[in-house]
Amino acid sequence: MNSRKPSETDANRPHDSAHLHVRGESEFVDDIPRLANEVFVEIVQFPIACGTLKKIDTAKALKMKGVLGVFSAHDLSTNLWGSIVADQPLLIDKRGSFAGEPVALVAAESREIARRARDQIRLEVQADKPLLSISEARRAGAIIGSTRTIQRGDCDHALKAAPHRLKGKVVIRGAEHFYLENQAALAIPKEDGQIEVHCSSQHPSEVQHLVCHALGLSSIQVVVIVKRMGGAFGGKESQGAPFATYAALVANKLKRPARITLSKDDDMIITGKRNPFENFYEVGFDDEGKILALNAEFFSDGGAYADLSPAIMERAMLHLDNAYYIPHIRISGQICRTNHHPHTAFRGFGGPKGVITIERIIEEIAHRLGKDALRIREINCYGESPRNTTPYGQEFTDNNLPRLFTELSASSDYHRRRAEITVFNQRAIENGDRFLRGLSLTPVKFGISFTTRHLNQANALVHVLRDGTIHVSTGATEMGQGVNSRIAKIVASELGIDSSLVRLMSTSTERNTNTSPTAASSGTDLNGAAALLATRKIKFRLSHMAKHLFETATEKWPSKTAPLGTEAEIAMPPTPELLLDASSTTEAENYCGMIFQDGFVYAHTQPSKKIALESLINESYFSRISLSEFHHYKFPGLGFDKLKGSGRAFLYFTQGVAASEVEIERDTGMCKVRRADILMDLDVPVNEALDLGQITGAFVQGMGWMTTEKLFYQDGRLLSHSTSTYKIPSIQDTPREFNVHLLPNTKNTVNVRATKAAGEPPLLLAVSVWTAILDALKTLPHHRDALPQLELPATCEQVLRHLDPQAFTHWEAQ
Amino acid sequence: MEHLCSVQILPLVKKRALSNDKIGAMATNSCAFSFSASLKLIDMRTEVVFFLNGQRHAVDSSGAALVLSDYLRLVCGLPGTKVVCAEGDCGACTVVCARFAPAGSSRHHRDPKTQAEAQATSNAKKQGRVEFRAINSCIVLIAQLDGCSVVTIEGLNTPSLNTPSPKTPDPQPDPSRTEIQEKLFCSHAAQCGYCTPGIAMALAGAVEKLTPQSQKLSEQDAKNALTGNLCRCTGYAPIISAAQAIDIHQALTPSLHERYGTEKIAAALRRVFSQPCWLKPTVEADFEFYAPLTLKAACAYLKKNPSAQIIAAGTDLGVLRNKRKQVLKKLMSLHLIKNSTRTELKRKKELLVGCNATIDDFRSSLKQALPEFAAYLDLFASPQIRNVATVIGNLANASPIGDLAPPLLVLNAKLEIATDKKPRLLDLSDFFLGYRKTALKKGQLISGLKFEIPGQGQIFKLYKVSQRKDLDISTINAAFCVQLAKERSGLMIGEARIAYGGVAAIPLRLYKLERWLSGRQILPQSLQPTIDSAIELLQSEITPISDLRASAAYRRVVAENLLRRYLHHLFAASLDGSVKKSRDLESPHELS
Repeated sequence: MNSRKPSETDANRPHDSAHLHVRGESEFVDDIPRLANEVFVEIVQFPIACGTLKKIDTAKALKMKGVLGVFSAHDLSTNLWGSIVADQPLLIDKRGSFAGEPVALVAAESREIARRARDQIRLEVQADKPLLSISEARRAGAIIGSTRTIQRGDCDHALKAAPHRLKGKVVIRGAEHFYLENQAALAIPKEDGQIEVHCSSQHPSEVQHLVCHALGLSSIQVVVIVKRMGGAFGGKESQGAPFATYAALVANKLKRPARITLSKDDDMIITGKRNPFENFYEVGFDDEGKILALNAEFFSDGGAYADLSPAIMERAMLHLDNAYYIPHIRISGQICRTNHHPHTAFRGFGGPKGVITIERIIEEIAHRLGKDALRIREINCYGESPRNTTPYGQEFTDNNLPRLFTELSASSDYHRRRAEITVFNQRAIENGDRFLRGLSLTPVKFGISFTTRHLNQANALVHVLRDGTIHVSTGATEMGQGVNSRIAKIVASELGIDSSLVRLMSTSTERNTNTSPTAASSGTDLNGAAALLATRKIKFRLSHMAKHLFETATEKWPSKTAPLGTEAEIAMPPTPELLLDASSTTEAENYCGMIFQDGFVYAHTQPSKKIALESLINESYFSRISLSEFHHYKFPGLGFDKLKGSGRAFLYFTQGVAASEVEIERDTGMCKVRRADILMDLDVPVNEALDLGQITGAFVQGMGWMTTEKLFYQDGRLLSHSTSTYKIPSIQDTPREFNVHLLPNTKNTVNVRATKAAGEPPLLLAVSVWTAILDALKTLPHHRDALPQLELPATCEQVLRHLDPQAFTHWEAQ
Repeated sequence: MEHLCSVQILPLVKKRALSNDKIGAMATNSCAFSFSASLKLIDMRTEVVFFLNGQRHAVDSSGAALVLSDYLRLVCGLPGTKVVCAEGDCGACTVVCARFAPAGSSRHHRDPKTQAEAQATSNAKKQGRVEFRAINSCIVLIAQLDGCSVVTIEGLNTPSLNTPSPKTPDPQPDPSRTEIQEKLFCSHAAQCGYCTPGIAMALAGAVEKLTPQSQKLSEQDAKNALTGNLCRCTGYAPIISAAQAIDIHQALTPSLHERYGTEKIAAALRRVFSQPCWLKPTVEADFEFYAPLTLKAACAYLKKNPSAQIIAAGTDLGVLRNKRKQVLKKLMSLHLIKNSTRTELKRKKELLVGCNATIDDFRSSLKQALPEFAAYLDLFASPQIRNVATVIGNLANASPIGDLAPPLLVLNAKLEIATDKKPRLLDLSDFFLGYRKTALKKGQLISGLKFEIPGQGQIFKLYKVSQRKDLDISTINAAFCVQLAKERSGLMIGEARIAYGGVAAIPLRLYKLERWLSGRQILPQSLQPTIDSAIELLQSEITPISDLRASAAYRRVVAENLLRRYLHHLFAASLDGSVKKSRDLESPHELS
């Protein structure tokens, strides 16, 4: 028999698929063996940024051997869709709104034939003038939704009264998710008009809805299964759904299994990116650098359709305060409609756009006052009441920021290095040396919850099997982040067993429906809590059964007597309410005094008398006690009014700080991160190793956006649509010295198992890399009066422009 | 496409020799040459032969045009190898591969990078051992695997315990994982898992180059081994830890060589090299592949088939094929030609490079002789690409931003041009005629290259600027080779050669600037005016454009900054008398 005892390393157990990953045995959608009769689907794309589709000429393609059909908007039952607003066509009917927009689907016997056939389809289009930037869209009045505002105090008056004022702007470009597994789906027609869809999506419930909606089916006809994703990062929150729908449409039309697997190029051209933002601000502050008032206007490029942009804008606005108390503040946000792919969720959502803005403002204040930026950060940091309320009126109770600042500035040796860098740069400027250095320490305070209240719910199904293994299903999807391992650990700890005995099943709408996307860093918080509560219900029954067994002679135990029915069955009381509070910790007294430990159960009063959990389970079965549970969970206490811009938007805040040191080469603008120190407050991690992996991964991903990842468009067409032209960080780009630590902390009492979410927040710490580049640049004499207008990403070219603006002016004037 | 392809996969043990094999076996004896000459048609192989995870595969024209990753995933049902970018730029598709060319046609000059490698090289030499190297399976055609033993992640897996354990396993050493996989597993180096098989294979390739005497990979070794593997989840930190934790001794037992380079496999593959190969197009497959044994035959074929393309590593053609910019219909490969992979340093002075010599081989032979060039090559693409891409291919491709053209231009390299008649030499400077246009004529090919290592007083420097430092195409690159001579009056610039990439339609020699510099005296007071005038000339000669990598303005500013950087370097070198030999190596990963 397997040992039931949790192994010593259970707390840091590798990812639940790691043993398969390293052997190449993990099955992704495109790895599912080819089915008999399977067809392959390719997407015909709109060639220009904006215009009218006049005609689709499919004659040549349809004549090709192996081509089975071309499907277009007419083949759909309903065409318009959208996660928030149904404004996007699945396939263009008349108007094309971005280059690469899906027009039609080609189905063929093989991928090769489908690709060749696609090349043979001619589109007749009439071009219109596209809107290709935020400023163009603003001039044209092209907007999505209405302007939203969050405000507190009297911003205008406080600005007027402030001793110092600054006005500025920050330009933030988009970024590609670059999940390694491109969008993929396999749809298999089943009996009675049913369809089974295997896809790579963070949101199987939405895929189910969209397939039904588009094909005119009811939800009971469609099952959506997500085993795992090869990375998603938000790019498969809403935008996995159309591709699954395309496969389902073809499968339904041809009554044959249909698979779609995008190439990286098609994926990058078709799917949306992180929203670009242009943010304007006016800030008032005192001689010390304390912010007195801030007025900010955010404009985002939503692309052609709404997608998740309204929620992204909201989160951007909710994160402008970041770690700082700003007494008088007004933030407004407007999404602009352009002719780009519809921009979408990407790790951090809108958060980084708010944080980047305030961090630039801090750098500007420091530069104006001739002070170190860390000082400005510290004096503006959230503190005691009344300096502990966010602009939207939520009280910030669990504030570890001052401690994080203090500990990291000490452990990273910030002040000594600051002094050294000042000398290094002075010398470099005097001697014309090749390198400049910069150092910056920035914080993050990231709100955990969907800002849309109804998404903060989850459900879980737990089955205890008779051999003592546990089968858990939730709506959470596994994309590498380790949500399965964490939930398994939560369930296993509750039952006092090793988490290797718990298996998280694939995410399927056949078991969990009406689920939310695995997003907003909330996967474990929501689904783990639901699984925990379901497990507690079973544990409660098991503990009653254990008590009964300890009081009964073994020969009268159900396994011996049930077949003949000689003994009465035990009566089971209802589960007490206390056990259904995920933030509570439960003790033996809640379970009839029973302790579940190391695969055994015993009464805390009599530790020597134990029953193996497996036997207890078996006895329970013979007593007709349910060994399965379903539980629904929602974050308690949320109440954010989107129209008023106030209320409790978040369950809690994950916090952290990072100090980054960069070196820039003055004659090329090339940049490297010499050192990064990170300190995060994650309270009690469920699995510390997985959390550290989230931190290093998010930070380096963020670094890419801050530096090398440049999306290049020409007439609205994305030209940097592959690895050869779009540059995510390579292993050589990682910080030369990389120190990551967690703050030993008290428990996060509002959340399940007293933990804090780690998925998105560390990405925002990479902002320190960008501010460190600013820090290096601002030492140059020509930036003495004003902080350089450095765009984000700070590519080599962007950096060189600010190192030597005159040279660029010279050549660009010609 | 899977159903279009006919493939024979024979387990080695069965050894149901094909008719071709018999001829192959005969061809290895001494009378083979005249035999094959007289029986041209019968002697021609019509299948390419390679081993995949120890099994013999023979593929004809119907399947030979597939890329290896498709062949693995669609034909063989081996989905462990992933495809992400399909252009050899992410490493997810990494497999390892050894080409079993008979001794004598393999490279025989390799300057080792480390002591461990020196040991490995000498061991390998002694045993006539062929190296298993990491390659990108997404851009290599099946046809190109002729004579190779290929190992995928499925082949790396320990065969004894092929069924995964039913429960999530304990993080204890597990015999179903090799040492490399074990360390990746327990260091949390796999998150989503999509890049992981490629990372395991890249590490297998790196470890295979080492010897049991070496203990661990250093942090820099680990990074260098994995430069060609992108991961979007982990931030690489756990991957670096995993690589450093690998116990090399454990990882090498049994080595890939012991598993997939057995004498049986080696012998079967060596036979391949004695027979030319000609896959002819059929009704179903419009694909022709010809691999002759001699340059003469190659030139004759080219003359007859002007549409034929020469494929070496195919690191460019494979991408053009995948990205649907080119259909590859008629290819000729020079892999069967003897000595084609050689790199040889003659009298420590002249370097000869064969037409199939890889960047990695080339780098090894430069390590001692011209470290500046070797260090520059560390920034060339990825290990996977350097392991297969050829020096000649990089030139023949005639890209205006190819990394090798500027250095070889300033080294005055000469190309050996094979024709169906007499071979001739061509200055590389006369080779590039226009955008992707070269001086090669019908029926001609480049059979090699040679150049002299810069001598005393020649200050040779190379610069590469790209959006991302590693694994990137140059935005701009520059090469300088300037002779400093002592005259009675002080230091004089002698012959100057300067070339830039990414500033014109071709890799550009800056003749005007070179002429202007030659004969100029170096004096402290004239440095600034010299730089100013030189920059003016440079700007008059270059015509950069704006593209997705950078604007024309950026290229102009960087072009002059690099010239400035070089002239300062030259001036400093002249001052401190380090003119003797410019060996001031700047390793690209230890900047400043």
